[in-house]
Amino acid sequence: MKKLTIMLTVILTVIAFSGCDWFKPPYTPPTGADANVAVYVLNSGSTSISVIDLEEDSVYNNVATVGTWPNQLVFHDGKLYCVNSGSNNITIYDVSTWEAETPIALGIGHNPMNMVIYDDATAYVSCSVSNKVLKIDLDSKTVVREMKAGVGCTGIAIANAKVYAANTGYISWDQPYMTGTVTVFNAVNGDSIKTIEVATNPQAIGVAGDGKLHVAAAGNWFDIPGAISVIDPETDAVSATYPVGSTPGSIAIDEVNNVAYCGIWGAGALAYNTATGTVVDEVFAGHGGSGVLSFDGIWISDWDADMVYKYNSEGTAVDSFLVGDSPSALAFRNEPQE
Amino acid sequence: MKRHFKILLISCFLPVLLLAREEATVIGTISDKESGSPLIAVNIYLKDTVIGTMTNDEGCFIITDIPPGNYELIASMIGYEKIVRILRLSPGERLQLDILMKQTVLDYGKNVMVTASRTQKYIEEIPGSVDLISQEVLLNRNPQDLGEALRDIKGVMIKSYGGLGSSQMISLRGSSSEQVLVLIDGQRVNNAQNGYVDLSNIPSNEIEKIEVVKGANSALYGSDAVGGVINIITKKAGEKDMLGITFKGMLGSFHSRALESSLRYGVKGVSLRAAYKFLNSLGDFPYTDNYGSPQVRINSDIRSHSISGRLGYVFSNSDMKPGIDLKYTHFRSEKGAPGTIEPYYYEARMWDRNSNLSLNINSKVFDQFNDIRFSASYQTTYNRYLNNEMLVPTDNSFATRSLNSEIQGHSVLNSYLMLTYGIGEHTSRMDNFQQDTSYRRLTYYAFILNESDIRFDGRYLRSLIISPSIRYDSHSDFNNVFSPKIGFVLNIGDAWKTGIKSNFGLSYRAPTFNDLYWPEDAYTVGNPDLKPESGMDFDIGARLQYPVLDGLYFESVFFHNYMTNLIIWESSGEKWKPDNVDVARIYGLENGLKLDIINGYLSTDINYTYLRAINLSQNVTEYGKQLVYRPRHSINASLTGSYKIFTCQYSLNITGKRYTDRSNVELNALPAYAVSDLSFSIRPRIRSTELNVNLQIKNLFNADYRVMKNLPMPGREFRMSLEVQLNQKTNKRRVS
Repeated sequence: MKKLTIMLTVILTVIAFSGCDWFKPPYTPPTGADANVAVYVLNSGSTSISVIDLEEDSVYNNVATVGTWPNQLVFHDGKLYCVNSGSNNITIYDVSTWEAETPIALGIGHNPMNMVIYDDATAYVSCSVSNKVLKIDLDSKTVVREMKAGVGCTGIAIANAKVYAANTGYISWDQPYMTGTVTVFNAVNGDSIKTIEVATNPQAIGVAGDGKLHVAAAGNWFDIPGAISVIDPETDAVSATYPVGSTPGSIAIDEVNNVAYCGIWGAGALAYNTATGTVVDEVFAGHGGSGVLSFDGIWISDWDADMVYKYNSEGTAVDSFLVGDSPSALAFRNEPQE
Repeated sequence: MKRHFKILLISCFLPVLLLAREEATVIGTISDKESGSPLIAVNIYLKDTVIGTMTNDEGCFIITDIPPGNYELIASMIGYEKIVRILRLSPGERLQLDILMKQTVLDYGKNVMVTASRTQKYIEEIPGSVDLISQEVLLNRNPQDLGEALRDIKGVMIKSYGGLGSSQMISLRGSSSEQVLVLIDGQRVNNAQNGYVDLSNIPSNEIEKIEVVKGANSALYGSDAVGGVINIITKKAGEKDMLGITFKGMLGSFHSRALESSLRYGVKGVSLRAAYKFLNSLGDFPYTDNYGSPQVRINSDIRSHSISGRLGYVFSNSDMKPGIDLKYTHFRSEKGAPGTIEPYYYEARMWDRNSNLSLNINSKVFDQFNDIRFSASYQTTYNRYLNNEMLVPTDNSFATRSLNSEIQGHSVLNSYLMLTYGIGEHTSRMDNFQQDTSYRRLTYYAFILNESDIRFDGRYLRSLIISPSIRYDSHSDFNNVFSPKIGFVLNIGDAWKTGIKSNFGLSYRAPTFNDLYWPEDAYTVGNPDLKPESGMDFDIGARLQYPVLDGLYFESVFFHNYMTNLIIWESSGEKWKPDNVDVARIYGLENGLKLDIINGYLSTDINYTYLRAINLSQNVTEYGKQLVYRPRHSINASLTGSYKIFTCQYSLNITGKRYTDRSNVELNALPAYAVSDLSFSIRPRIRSTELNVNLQIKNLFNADYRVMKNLPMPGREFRMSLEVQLNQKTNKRRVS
């Protein structure tokens, strides 16, 4: 009986300890991750965020985790938004504390890809499975309207009080791409305005310094090369098509120098003049390309090397940062303290 | 009675005795020490000779034509302690021996036979680290599939995707699922398309026992035996002169129910077995999502059917005892495929169909020290996955076919040369119905294993067993591979038995058809130039078997595996492509303690595994990090109490923190969890009818836990089953 008592005591003690909190220690983000001038890096492999503090020239990795299949980061008004395609939600962080707010649940079956913020209360999200654009009330964190877009709705931008959503037209691996389109909505009420035909497989939209929208189309990855369709927001028509080639999948525009940088996976970026469409550098950086950002230089994410590089406009690397696993999308905060 | 028995014995062998002249003869009987009943088919042989025999149906044996001299006579039988007698035989001597054999008290570790070295061996005589799940353990745990049966074995990590019927993958000593070879009655069942086995597709009702052989074993089994081998031994066909019928029904939480039945019949060398199992579960258990809200796991239902048939025939009129065993199994299931909870697929479905036809022919040749076995199996699998909720709607169907055939011989020349050898071929084919493509792999192989058993007459040293083996595999679609291995066991002591054992070997895993030939699309492409993954494995351990309390068994093994050429899908330019890029070092310590606290009434079993699985890839953020879903610490414990027809078992599984991403982000890590199960069994016997009433409470304390990220596990779950087993002798006159 004594043996039995000892044995039961041991087992019950193990059970009691197994339920204790020591299994999961509390986490606090590192001091300094609340930088006022910073580049935020989405680490897709580790589903986390890194902060590059540009004032202190230091990096804080994995300060917060995001949802499944994170796709894009957007900074706005002291908050960082992350669009999680797999989780069908948008996670929100207060960048001063890195505390996560209640995510914006978008509902099932959407596969959100990108978001754009119209004003402090309204955001629009493109969704590639439901082929919709969702209008979000940021105060109540609810979807207030679902608008029908085209097949494979992915890139999204706002110009001239209108929302432009790029539809890739991708159906499946064994079928050709449908005609690439951009669906235009009224940014105030969400009403559909028109659909514009663009180059094959439009992935991302950037707004140039002259207010025109540059739609980066990747082509069909085989025999149709990438191109840029330029849309004039005044007429909502394609004003020019730049046959830049390669497979541009993202876009960042340097408004000062009128140069757009399109992310090319494995090659860095393709740079072209936004006014003329002339390609100024076919292989800018020469590596990386999973993310591209224009902010006080050109920032390139290198998925394989887990690095983010900063380049000047001449294409010279001026800084590099070791970030988290498989960096992709980038965003910045530029709110230096007086 | 004893006198009559001797008269019977002498009359049986009188003609033989009359023929004997100068040669000596040993005759005798072997009986159970407790009950006194004769023991049938006990192996008796003279050590270092080819002289031996087996007991007949009356427990009698006779060994004739023995040259005069000194011998060591050995009697052995599964479930009994081995008997050794020193004989000094004079010319023409007729020696009578009446041997009593004692049943093993512990069914683990001590005098248990396993087939880890391809032939039946005592567990203490093989260098490998082997754990056995016996029929008794299966009865207590009452698992519904293979994953549930394997959960409590040290060094085993079951990656469960949810509740009953959901996918379950196995990891052995930190390996990947593809690096574990799963055998059913010695035939490989790993899927050639993706390399792994979904344990939920192997129903438990026809499992007799399971051997878990840890460490590299490519030297005996070829590809995929990097982490180890799971050998499932199914129930044999019917016993001689016996008709048996079994019905079993199960009702459980989350709308689960199962029905099993089996028929066994044996007569005149022919034995038959047929079995059927039906399982249905909605699997709609409640869980808490990532944001604290209560949810219900919908679309995780399963409905499966499995049938099996087995026919055995033994040519009992031949001294060589040749036998044929023909078996067919078929499993089909339809299940919901909800995926993770982020994203959640509400309508995705999955269908599986697996069939297997196998044939075994075995016989002794020349004498009882030479065995030969021919085995062949034909296996088909079909899998369909339908999901219209993804970015690209998916309706994938794959089918694989494989054909194995092998001839294996086993020859005992003397105690230093006990050879197991064989040749075989394995053909695999995969059909992709969407792309109308098919791929084929042909493998030829040859292997040889020797076991040298060196016995000592010293007071403490008992035996040293050295076991080298090598295998050569020739593959049609990638490099040919040599897999050598050497192991030894040093057994010390008698009552206080201590064993030291060690193994060193090379192993490999073949690239799967998916790895090699994944069709090129916009995002991915296979790599036909892949090499196999390689492992260099070493382990050393001690095994103690001491008469502490009513029996103590302790085993501790340090293992180390250095793996190279690990296949990882990574971005290469614009596409994802597999490549041999990763290197990993996996080491750890397995500890197991089994204790009979009160013999026959109360026993306990406690395992602890420490595991370091270090990624040595060149990626700077991943180098030196723990591989995903490999807990550093895991504990399994159980306490079993038995009294007459009642059995109660409490089991506890504690699994440590697991990282879910390759860079080991703490915020992504899954916290440790502890899950307890409780089961009660009542097994009354009414004449020839055996009943087994089993009540299980799984996850007793309703722990909210996840084995895999975003895949919640069920909370407290009740299962109740009733088994009725009818046994009827079919030849009463003979038995009486």
